[in-house]
Amino acid sequence: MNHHLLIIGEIHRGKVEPTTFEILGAAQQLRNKGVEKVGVFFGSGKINIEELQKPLQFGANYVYGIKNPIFDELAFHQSTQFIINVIQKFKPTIILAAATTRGTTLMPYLAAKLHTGLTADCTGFDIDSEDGSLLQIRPAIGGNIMATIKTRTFPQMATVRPNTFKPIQSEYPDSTLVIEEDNTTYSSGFIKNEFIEEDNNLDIAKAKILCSGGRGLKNATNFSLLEELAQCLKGCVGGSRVAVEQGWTSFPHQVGLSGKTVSPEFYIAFGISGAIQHLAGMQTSRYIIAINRDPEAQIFHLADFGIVGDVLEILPQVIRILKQRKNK
Amino acid sequence: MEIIVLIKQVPEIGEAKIDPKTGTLNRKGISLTINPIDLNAIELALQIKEEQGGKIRAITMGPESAEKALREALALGCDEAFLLTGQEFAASDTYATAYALAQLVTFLKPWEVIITGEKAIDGDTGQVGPAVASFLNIPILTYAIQCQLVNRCLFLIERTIESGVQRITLPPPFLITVTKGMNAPRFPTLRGKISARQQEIQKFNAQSLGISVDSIGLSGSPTRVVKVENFKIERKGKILKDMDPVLMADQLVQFLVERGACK
Repeated sequence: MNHHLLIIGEIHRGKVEPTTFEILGAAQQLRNKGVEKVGVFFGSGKINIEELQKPLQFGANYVYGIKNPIFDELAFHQSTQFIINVIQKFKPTIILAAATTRGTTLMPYLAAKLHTGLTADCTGFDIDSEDGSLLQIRPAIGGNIMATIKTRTFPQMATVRPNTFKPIQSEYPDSTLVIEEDNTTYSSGFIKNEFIEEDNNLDIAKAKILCSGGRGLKNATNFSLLEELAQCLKGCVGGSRVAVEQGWTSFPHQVGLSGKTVSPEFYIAFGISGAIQHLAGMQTSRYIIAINRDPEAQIFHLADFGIVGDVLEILPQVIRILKQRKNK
Repeated sequence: MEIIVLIKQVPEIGEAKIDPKTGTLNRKGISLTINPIDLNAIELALQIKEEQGGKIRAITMGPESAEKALREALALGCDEAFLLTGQEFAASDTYATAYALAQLVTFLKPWEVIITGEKAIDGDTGQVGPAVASFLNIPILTYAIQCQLVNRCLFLIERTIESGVQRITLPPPFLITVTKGMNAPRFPTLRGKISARQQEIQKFNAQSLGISVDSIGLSGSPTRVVKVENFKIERKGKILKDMDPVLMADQLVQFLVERGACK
């Protein structure tokens, strides 16, 4: 089967989001298995040629953009229709989008309209050597099972977990970039629609280094040491459910099944024993470092580096040593 | 305000332990309960009703035993409960589930607001809510952290997105999926529990709703799980113990530095 893979790209403030390049990386890995053509679609009022050319350096055969602000309104019930038109124009056999708040809302809305299946939050893809269909691999049931899913309808759709794939530089001859300007004013159906930008550092899902704490930190004052550590490492602060319930940190910082799924380069867990919901939310991190008093703590099974000891002793020492290094 | 709350019955994962041999969830003796985030959905519905009056109808799709989840919803203060049940629904994927739920929701017209949890802790896809909204052709607002009435016919909703917060004012109808942090779900009262026991739960199957069996269950599901592998995550990392804390902290920093964390 010769697949044509279309990525629904994301653009924020005129910049192509890293997730779009990551999905291009996932697509590149399927190139010699049956994916022949890879395209990226962008819809936004803030589109520029220079930025939209970038995917062509990472394996896209074509980029198609529609310039209209309706896409920036995040009124998915309205923008879905435009995307359906794009799909009817290009007729892809596979559609991928990032498992971001945008992708996880748009894609199920879109898949229902297209009467096709959708697999959530994939961490791996392959092509079935027998029937050529897309194999969509995702962690299930708390992440302790990897499920492989096939879609028997077309297009085969999936969302892709951020921070899972790496972009791969490659260019194809005859690659094209088309931007269509649509000057019509479309209504979002919203009476008012405002966006309040918040510090990106707060987004634990995007963090490269996450300093996370749990019950073992005992109180808010100790927990706030994580802020200091995060500053030293230019990372973010995360917390277990206990830390959020105790009010040491707020809900957007909660790591785990009922909070956010994260996959940073470094996950440093202080005083987190590792309840299954927590582990499911961080186990795909590149390096996991755990500090806990209890040698039997579940989190040590996941750790690349662990310390059995008192977090209240270790954490201040780690901060001190890091600061010393910096001053050198 | 006519409100519909979509709930799901899930295993209580908090009680569960990982089977050390198989690396899978040990489901033995785990009780079933309302998906925790759906409790936030119910709480929001109750708060809107307290302010505006109206009626809350809780619905779910599942085996007969899912009746228990609906009784919990009634005990919390939902007015009516509806169960979509039957062998024909078994093995439905998110598409088929959303399709079936949308048929029941359509049957229950009129309504103004549909509320559900952002995702279920067992399936962990978050796809059913948006797909139901799509089948009903109404606006979808996911990841809500705030929802309040501006006046009788306008809502102000805040949803978290990667770059911050989106604040939307819109009239019903719409479907909103709520996050865990939105509110603090109340507990059922004894009186609520007692009256929930006596209330009738209205049951529907594919036939009574006029749903073709080809569009639900396994035959109506476009996706198939073709392989399930135990994924025993075990990283054989270096674990330090019984050492001087300063030395251990120093080795931790070294581990970070060697792997490029301190650029």
